Amino acid sequence: MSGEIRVTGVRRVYDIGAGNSLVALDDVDLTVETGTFVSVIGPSGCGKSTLLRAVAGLEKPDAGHITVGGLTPQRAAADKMLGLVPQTPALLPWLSVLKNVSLPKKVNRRKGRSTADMPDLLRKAGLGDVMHKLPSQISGGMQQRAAIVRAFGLHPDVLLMDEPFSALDEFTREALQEQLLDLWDELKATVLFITHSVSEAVRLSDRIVVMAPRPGRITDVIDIDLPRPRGQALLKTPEFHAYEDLVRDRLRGAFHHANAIAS
Amino acid sequence: MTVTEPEVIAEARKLIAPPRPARKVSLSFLHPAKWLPLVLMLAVLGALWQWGAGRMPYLLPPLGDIGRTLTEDAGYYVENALVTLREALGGLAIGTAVAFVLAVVVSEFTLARRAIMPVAVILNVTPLVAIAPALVVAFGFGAAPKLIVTGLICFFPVLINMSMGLRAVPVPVLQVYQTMHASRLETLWYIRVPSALPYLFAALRIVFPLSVVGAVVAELSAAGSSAGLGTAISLASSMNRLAAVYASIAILAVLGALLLLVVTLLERRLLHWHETRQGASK
Ligand SMILES: Nc1ncnc2c1ncn2[C@@H]1O[C@H](COP(=O)(O)OP(=O)(O)OP(=O)(O)O)[C@@H](O)[C@H]1O
Ligand SMILES: [Mg+2]
Repeated sequence: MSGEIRVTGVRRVYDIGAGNSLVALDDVDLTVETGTFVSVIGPSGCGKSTLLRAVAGLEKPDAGHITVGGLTPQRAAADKMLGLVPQTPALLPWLSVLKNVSLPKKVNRRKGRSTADMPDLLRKAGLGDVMHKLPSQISGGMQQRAAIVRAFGLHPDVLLMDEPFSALDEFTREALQEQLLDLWDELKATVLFITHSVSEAVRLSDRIVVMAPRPGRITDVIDIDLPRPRGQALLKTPEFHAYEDLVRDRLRGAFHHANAIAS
Repeated sequence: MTVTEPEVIAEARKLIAPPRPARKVSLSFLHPAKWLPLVLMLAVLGALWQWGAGRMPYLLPPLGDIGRTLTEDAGYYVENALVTLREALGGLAIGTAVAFVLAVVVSEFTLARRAIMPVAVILNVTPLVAIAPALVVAFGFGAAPKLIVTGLICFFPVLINMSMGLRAVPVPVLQVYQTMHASRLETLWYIRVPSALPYLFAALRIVFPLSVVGAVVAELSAAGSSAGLGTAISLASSMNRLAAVYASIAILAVLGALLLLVVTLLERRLLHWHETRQGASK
């Protein structure tokens, strides 16, 4: 099945009152090929989340159009092709971890997708011992892992992640990146991943999209040509650092632009 | 998989201090620090009462007299208490059920909210003591006006809290399930209603004891009622039997406290997952 994301000429304008409007996305073109991992990075307020919400079908662009696997985002959602991992784990506090990650199976049942063996998937994610606990009884890192398992459980064609690791400490973060890559390797999905961390973007992605604000737009697309699997060792190689520097350089351009307009 | 440092620590903590079994009978209430303050307070209040009763026998009956009527006419009080309790619980059930359903309607349909909420607010600010006599005129001296008054008293807190709770679901949670195309009914059933339960219980804690107030107010304003503690109070006070008045009042207080206890136990069972409860159990 195809999980290609195609964004063409998308524009999104927010009415911010007093007759003012804010161009959150301006003429954004982006193609994410099936099965690739693409990260979006850019200064705060450049429209990353807006882009993700539009791809998820949570809001409609004012111009341009978006297809996911050839369908509109709403149709893709109706076919249970999408998985969303927000910045907070967004687990239901009254359900055990296992029940939390199994709930997606119970909703929108008409679309009977092949689903994962949830206890097995939880075990793979290192949550085997805590699957019967409540979210409040496990650490933040484990909660976020459960949120990722919940999204992967439906075998989505497209996984949309909005800064899923930003609230975690450095170690937990790196461990989760590794697990995400493992799961992704096994279950294969197209991933659109938003982050503020340059090294995270370089480590995870096939391609990095750099955005700049006011108006929100794409300023750069950088292919990351590093071998996979990308274990801990890779993080220390000169090639990895070279990519980090490159992305940081391009980002600086986006930030400069942001500041120039703000001042 | 790689185990991260904080989790190693968390695991170690679990080994050192295994989680307590969920249903351990706690004997901590036997400790004097738990019961002594209340016992002392009651002793002081009782002494004050007796002192007052000695100086103003026409205002306060001695506690002994109250105890005597209670034991001598135990059957009479139990019978009337049951009548009042039945009215209170009936009204409570009706008011809560209607409020629950309306809360769902109001939180799902904006137009319904605009139509219903102002009426509910007006109903709430109208003094029920004033409505009760009119209801008696309309519905007679039977159970109906009492159920209606009690129901109305219970209705508003449940409606307000429940409709607030139904809409208090974090946006990211809704977005996760929206991208799976969960239907409105599924979202309501699996997400909104459970997350509204803490709000519902906050209202029930108010409304359970309040239902007794509703029943008594209704009885007091229906002068021809044949039974109930409210009726017992108005009868006794018309005959100047002060001890009997206070005997009924004491039973009402106990009924209210029992209802509060019931709601607390229910809450403990159903909301064990909720933060405030988890804080309480530590
Ligand atoms: N619902 C909304 N109404 C009005 N303005 C909005 C709305 N959502 C987003 N915006 C504005 O649109 C711009 C882009 O927001 P967005 O959340 O997409 O940025 P972002 O790149 O995700 O930022 P961050 O890195 O801080 O998460 C911001 O200026 C934001 O204030
Ligand atoms: Mg964002």
